[in-house]
Amino acid sequence: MLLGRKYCIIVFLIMVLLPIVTWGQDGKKAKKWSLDGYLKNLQNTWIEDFDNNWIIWNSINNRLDFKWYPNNKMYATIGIRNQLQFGQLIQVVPDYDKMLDNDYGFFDLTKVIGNNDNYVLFSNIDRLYFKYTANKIEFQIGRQRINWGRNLVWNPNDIFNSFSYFDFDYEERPGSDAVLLQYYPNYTSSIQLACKLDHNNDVTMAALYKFNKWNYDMQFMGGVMLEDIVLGAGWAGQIAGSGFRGEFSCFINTDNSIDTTATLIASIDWDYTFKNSLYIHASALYNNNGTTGNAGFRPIFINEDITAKNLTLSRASLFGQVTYPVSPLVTAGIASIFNPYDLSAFAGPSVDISLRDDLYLFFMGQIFTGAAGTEYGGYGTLFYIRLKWSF
Amino acid sequence: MKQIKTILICVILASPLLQMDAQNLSAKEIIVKADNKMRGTSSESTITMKIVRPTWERTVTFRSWEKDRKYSLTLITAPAKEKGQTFLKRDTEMWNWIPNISRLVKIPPSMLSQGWMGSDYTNDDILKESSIVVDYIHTIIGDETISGNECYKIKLIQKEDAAGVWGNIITWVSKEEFLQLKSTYFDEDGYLVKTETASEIKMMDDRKIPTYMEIIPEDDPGHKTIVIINTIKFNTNIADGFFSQQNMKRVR
Repeated sequence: MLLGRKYCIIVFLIMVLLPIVTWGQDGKKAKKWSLDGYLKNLQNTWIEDFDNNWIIWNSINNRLDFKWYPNNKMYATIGIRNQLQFGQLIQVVPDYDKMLDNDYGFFDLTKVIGNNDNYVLFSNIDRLYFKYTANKIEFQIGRQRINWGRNLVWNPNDIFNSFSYFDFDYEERPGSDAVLLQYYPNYTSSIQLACKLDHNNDVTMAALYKFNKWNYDMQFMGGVMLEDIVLGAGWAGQIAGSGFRGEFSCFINTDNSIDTTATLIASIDWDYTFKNSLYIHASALYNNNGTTGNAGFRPIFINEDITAKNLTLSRASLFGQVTYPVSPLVTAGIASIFNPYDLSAFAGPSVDISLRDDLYLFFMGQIFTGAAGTEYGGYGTLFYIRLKWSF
Repeated sequence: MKQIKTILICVILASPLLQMDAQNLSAKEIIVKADNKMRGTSSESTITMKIVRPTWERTVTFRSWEKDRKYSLTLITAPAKEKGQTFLKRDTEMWNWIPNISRLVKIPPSMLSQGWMGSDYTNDDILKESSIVVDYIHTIIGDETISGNECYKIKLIQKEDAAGVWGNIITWVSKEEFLQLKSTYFDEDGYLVKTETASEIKMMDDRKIPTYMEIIPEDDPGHKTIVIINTIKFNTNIADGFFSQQNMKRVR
């Protein structure tokens, strides 16, 4: 694959230098490498207007995660996504292949291998890093996911790898090109320093201190995200058996000519499982600079436009979810998001069926409602059928 | 995924599923010996658990490290979808590490009440396991032979102030090796709810133990849960530091 010079350099480092470094440091019996992944087919139906356009397309997605454990101290991994999309969407969306070809990391590890008006085949490396452990210190370099979020829906503390909630089929989430240094003072605490470079050579750099006190995980963080100074905190704990989590981040823009007010993004998250396995989950998101009017249309399916600072354009968003195993092999659920100001909403019903230990059939809908110009208006309705084989 | 989580939580909370203590001195001695057999001060094991139903079967395998009943670390090795996830328990707190999204989740207690694919281990069961010592009155009620092994038959009756789900339990402990080879569980009205059997006694590490356990619910024909101990090592002197969030991300 010709994914550019930078890619070649990284691959060279991982594949060539590492074996040299670890030569002769033979471990014991544990297997030194593993290969995992999956193959899935997602059928998409997008109904923008029930009486007119139904757009149908497919994506066949193969993921490969190759992991290498040369010895106790070293670890390297490469995660590759190969995706073939074909159908009407490719014909309808102008420059769809170029959109898929965008890599928002410092290195360009995404490549469209083939395309015409009917299909796009692309490959993307979203994990490619090396980790070195020296007792309580860990050093990690390369494309990785640095996940500081504690909530299950909205993560104001996740300043390195924000993602779109609606992009449900990309479970692993994108990685970022970064350096991460971690120190573990004790069994349940850590200090992390991370620095990320993106495709514009912009820097996100921050420190996090995480610890456990009074049966709560707590964390404080501070740093720089693009043009903002970020200060944040989060927690994960419990109230009467239920899960109770929260995160908030304050973004202070350093470019005073544009914006002098700070943006506060806060989210709390609560869930409870009943004895009959009925699961309920609620979350709220607050943005002090968000609008109380129509929160507008934006490409909410695309991860790259989303940062911890703009998880919603509204003053507030509310989330609710219920899931229930209707039989041991079938889990049904519905998740919903509501904008209380512009009254637009999203509902996502789903059914997940276990066909075999390694084979799952998944049905899902994404139903958006709202007037033109509202946060969730204008997307129409999407239906998905997914068959996933993991290996 | 949630279901897998639950089963692991259950396993973590009560790794050896087939032990009890007794209060009556002689009954207690027997049970304590049986208990010590199945669990040292620490252990390291690989386990397969199968849920068997008339029309389907599901399997999960995992590696597990345990110490002093306070700490445990579990790594899922199959099915492929959940492989690599780890669970850490320290005293009363639990965490789940999901490597493919680099997420550390603190598990709230209510998640323990979820069932896994209709497994015949009830969570209440497992959570109450450690209090069986204080919650029951134990007596030897006879001698019987279970698959060729002479056994003490011991009855456990729940104390009035106890909150367990079982009214009484009858368990058979082999006289030679002090192995719990069979247990029957009755509800508070005295109806038999499920039967656990243990077989395939093998030399594992430094001792002989049963390596194949079956749990058969009384009212569901064709249903059972099977637990197989593939490997186990006892008293391995694992350091407390092994049970850490750092190690959750490293064990394999």
